[in-house]
Amino acid sequence: MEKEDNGFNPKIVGFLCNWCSYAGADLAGVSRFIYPPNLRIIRVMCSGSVDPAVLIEGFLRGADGILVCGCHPGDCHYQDGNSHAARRIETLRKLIQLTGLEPERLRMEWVSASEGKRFAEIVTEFVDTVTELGPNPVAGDAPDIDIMEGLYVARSAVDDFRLSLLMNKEHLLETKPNAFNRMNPSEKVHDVVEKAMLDEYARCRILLATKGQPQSVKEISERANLPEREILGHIVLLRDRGLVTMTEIRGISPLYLSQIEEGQEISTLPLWAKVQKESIETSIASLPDVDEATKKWIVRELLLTLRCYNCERRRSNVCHFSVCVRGLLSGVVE
Amino acid sequence: MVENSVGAVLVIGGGISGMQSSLDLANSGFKVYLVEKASALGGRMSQLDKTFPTNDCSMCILSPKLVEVGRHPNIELMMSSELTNVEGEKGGFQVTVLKHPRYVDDEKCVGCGVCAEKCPIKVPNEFDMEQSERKAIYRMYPQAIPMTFVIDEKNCTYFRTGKCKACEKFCEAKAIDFDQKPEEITLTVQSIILGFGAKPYNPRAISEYGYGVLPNVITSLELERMLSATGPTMGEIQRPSDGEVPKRIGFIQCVGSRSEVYGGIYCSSVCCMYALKEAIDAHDHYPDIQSRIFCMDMRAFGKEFEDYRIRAEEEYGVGITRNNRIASVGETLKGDNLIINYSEMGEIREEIFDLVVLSVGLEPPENIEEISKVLGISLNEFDFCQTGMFTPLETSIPGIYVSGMLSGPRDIPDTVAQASGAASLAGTPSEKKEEDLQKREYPAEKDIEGVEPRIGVFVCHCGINIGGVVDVPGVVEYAKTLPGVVHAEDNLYTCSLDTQKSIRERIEEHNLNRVIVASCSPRSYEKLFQETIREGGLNPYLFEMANIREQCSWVHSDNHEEATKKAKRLVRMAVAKAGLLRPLEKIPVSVTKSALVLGGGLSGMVASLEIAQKGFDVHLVEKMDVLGGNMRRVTHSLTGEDPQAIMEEKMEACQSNPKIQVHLNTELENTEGYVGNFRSRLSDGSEIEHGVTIVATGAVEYKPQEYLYGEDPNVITQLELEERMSREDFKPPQEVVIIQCVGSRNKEYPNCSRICCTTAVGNALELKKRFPTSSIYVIFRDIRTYGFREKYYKEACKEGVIFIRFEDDDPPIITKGEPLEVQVKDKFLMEDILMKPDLLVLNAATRPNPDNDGLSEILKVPLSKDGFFLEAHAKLRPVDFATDGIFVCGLAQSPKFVDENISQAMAAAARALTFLTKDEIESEGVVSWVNEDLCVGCKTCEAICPFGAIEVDPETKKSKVSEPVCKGCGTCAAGCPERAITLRHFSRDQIIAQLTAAIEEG
Repeated sequence: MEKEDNGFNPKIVGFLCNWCSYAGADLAGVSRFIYPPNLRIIRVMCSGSVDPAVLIEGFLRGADGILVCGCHPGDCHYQDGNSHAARRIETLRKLIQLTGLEPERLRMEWVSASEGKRFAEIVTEFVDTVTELGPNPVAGDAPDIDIMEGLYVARSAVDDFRLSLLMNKEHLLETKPNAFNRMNPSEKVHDVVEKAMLDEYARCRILLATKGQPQSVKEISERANLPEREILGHIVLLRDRGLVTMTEIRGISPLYLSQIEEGQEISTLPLWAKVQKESIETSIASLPDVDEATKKWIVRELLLTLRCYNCERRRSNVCHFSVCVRGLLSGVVE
Repeated sequence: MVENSVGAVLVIGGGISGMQSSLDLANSGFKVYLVEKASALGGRMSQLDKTFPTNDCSMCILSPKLVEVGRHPNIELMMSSELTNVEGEKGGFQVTVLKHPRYVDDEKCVGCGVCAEKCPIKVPNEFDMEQSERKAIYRMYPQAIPMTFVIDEKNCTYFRTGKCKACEKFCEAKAIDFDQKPEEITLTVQSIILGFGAKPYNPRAISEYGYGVLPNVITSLELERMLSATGPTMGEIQRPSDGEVPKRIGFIQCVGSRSEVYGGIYCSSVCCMYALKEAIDAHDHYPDIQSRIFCMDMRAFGKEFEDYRIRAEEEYGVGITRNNRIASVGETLKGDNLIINYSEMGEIREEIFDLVVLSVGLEPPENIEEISKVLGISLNEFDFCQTGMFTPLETSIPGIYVSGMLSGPRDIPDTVAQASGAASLAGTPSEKKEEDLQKREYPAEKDIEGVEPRIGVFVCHCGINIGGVVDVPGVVEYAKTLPGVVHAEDNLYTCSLDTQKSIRERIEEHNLNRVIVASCSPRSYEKLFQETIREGGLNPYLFEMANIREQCSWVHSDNHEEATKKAKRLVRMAVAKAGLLRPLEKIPVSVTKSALVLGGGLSGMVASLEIAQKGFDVHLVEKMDVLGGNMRRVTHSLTGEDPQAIMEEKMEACQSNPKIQVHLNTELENTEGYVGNFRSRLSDGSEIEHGVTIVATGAVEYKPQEYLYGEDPNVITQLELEERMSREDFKPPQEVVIIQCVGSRNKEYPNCSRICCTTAVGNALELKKRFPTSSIYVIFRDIRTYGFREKYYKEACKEGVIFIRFEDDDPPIITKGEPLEVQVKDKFLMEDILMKPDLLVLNAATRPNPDNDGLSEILKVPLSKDGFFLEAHAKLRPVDFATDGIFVCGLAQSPKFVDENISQAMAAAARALTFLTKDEIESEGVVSWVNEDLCVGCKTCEAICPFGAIEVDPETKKSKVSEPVCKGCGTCAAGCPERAITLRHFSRDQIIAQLTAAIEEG
């Protein structure tokens, strides 16, 4: 029976890895374990190939719940794709919570090739959970604009360079020694990723709020649902990157306008690494013939004038790369 | 050897061993006949729930292999078959195989299971150790390959009484064929591999344990089936008497092992580990289960096994009580709980359990005598196949090789290594081998560039499997309304040969450029349909499947309307994706036909010789100025073979072989490239190109920091003892104390060095033999003389060598003096024992080679926690690295014995040969692709990829995928911060199209 609750029939999308979970779902079939037909299975090669932005896209397009299933930890057909997936989804759930959508709508489960029964149980239980949560607030004729904006922004945030980079190198930061040849405490690494997530989300919201019409900090705070005190810091950085301009001063409040054009994806760091690299390359190319050592020195000095996209401080001789792994986080520094 | 020998090889046994041999041979271009007695592949491993020490789900890791063997064009499966006669000799055996009828047509059966549902006869299910029932027409297990059902003639009513035929009546596919007759098939093969396994000991004979009488005494395999999610209880532990979940489980070890009365005197090698695994697994299922294992010694000797043992004790609270061979199991007066008496701390104790598990040992297979007669091979004293220390894979008959349990009990990784090794020995290149191989000719591929999608949808009824639940014609009508669909039809069985033909015709007729089949799981038939459309002139990747059987009709049989809706949705999703499918190319790369072998010890030499023998060039690189490695210090062997003579022979063979170029005093400085095309620079200045790399860099003996080593001249290591003993001036000792586990199994280095117990026993025996009056003490924690080595432990005990157990927290105390004083507390007697040896021998650990760190960076392959090289998979890929084309063997992987090193070296050679024998290797079509315009060279992909398949080019600063190495998991695509990477066939737009279609109303 498709679960019916006041006529609500949840649409659940399942991303199942080919080797364990999809086989587990097949086994549920072979063993004839009945489960509700709400699940729409999409086969992927590995749970690690599930793109976080696609998951948010799923919610934006009206999925009531999304289930990602992979091999049990240690069983991954591709060594550790499932652990990457788990890490990404953990961050994603926090991000979704910020938007106002219930994070319970996104779930990750381990299902092995011999757990047909478990698979059927998980699906049944998940359908129940989602039925209880009710329809996806952004789906249907009267979508909740706030959450929709939130999801749109969240999608931009996970797609953005910095958060994505940190999220995907988190395991390296935890397992490889940093620039001082010390291990980074995993809570600290965790905090860095979490902070990056909050920052990127806030910035994307600011960019969206100031799109098309100049806004004061107070207005931004209301529209983006962010505390006023946090906004100015982000605006300074976004102005630095040329993503926001100050158009006028109304009374004593400056007004800010986002430079993102209609139809353009929101990004707080548009091809930042590329910009960094290109500016260095152009500078070096325009130099007269110098030896390697001088070039290295110039590159270093140039880098100091740019911001590190991890800690976002200007790099300086006293820059404390306490969690940064030089060269690991940045493709430019070598 | 016969002139003009044939190419084909016969493999007997369809378990993991036989399957691995078959795959390695078939992938090296040999035709393989795989003979299996049962009706399905998988052997013992398919019955297991988890595997130690990683707790991997057994079926998850096995089933890709099952599918690969089942579909391999060069492997011919002969199920329900046995070998009846063998004639001829190496290079040209004539073998006769008796194939029993299945009574179900392989070509027609779709594996739906209606027959079994209708069959009225129930019989105990052997697969579940008779803890459940199956029908007289059955499939061994749900994931069985081949998936064809089989009629059990003995129990079938029709065969017994001539009436019934219920299965025939209900089979929509008309697959039942009662007229099948046994077939005798004669084959000519160049060699034979015996890869069938051992059988578990039947504990009924040990009446003291009450198996078969006391309901709550079960065997370990019975528990294993209970723990399995597909088992008789769906993964729940229920004790047989009342179905309750037990709270306390007692494991009795060595049931049928290490015994002169019951079973064999040898150790079955795997039971300690599987008992730990089952105890952990039980705890995982029910956290309040308490387990206790009663054993004589805890034999956790393999790679990272000791870690597992510690975890079992510390994290899962598994109790291990040593020094105990349990005398009997009693029943409590009330209820059906069980009492076990045991001794601990010098007193007798009693404990009550809800369930007692007998860890049964392994015996040679039932028909071993018959088979050995048919083949003419000799058996050893334990009725296993006779092999030698230096010829671990060869039987007494040339051309007949053995792998796995048939030559002695061993675990899965050792079995897999042997299977690969045997494959290498069995496959001698021959002129005629090409003739046997399947070759397919295809028409040219249609160019679909710029052509609008023209999609054909084929919806399968699968008899009544889909058609009985889903309104198939309705789905067809719906499909016709979807964008891009120009043709849709329904078929009774889309997988049948005539429908395959008609699909090809429809492609022609409607000028289709995408094909969708809505039927069963793509896991079973996707490759088949891809093949079909390829024959129809389409690129195989222009195909998509909608799984409307396993994931629709079979799980929604209670609601036909919703099931039909879901089937439509699944077809809609497939159509949405299909419109965006692109033809993919498998890019061939040429293979440099030579190998680089690092390390000139025994393993390196054996691997080099094997590869050279098959006709490929080898660069053998050795750091020292002489070949031989650690083997140079081993002077005698337990089996009486002379290690030095054999080593000299191998050294000579390596040096005189024109195919092998030996680089002494040389190290690897740098290597780049990928499988088939490596380029390396050596420290002697040479630059070499090679297709594969084998790491055989060995290990080192630990230099003890403890027990006055280096301070007192009478304190020496085991290897030093061997060296001294081989000298003329060896002074006869009066009293010798050997301390075990020096530098092993401690905080700093928790793992077991595997070989020291047996070496200690060997040296103790040697000393006793030469100096019968001397007193010899071995101070140990567990004696781990596994397998047939147990015999020597028994012998040493009989010869009067005294073994004293010490506890981890109470090591022996050594006091300086003339003579030395050794004091140790014997926990069994609860007494302090004082010895005054004139020679104190420290059995030092085998530690990883200190060069491993550097080498692992150069080769970009991982090390395990303790510093040995880490293979791709602890169970099924013991000599592979995750990176294709690089292999590991011998002590570099973990400590092991000479015969095991040889098996692994052979295995590494066999795995290497699967690449070297090919002129070209093809990449997968489904690989990642980098959009260079977007790539910023941030190296995130490099950090994520476990295969080293994607790297930032230092020149262009752009990521580059090396297609032959990429396995197509897509983790890099999902992780790329600039979204510059796409996994072909699963691209973001394809997934979003599927997603959108999934969420659409209707």
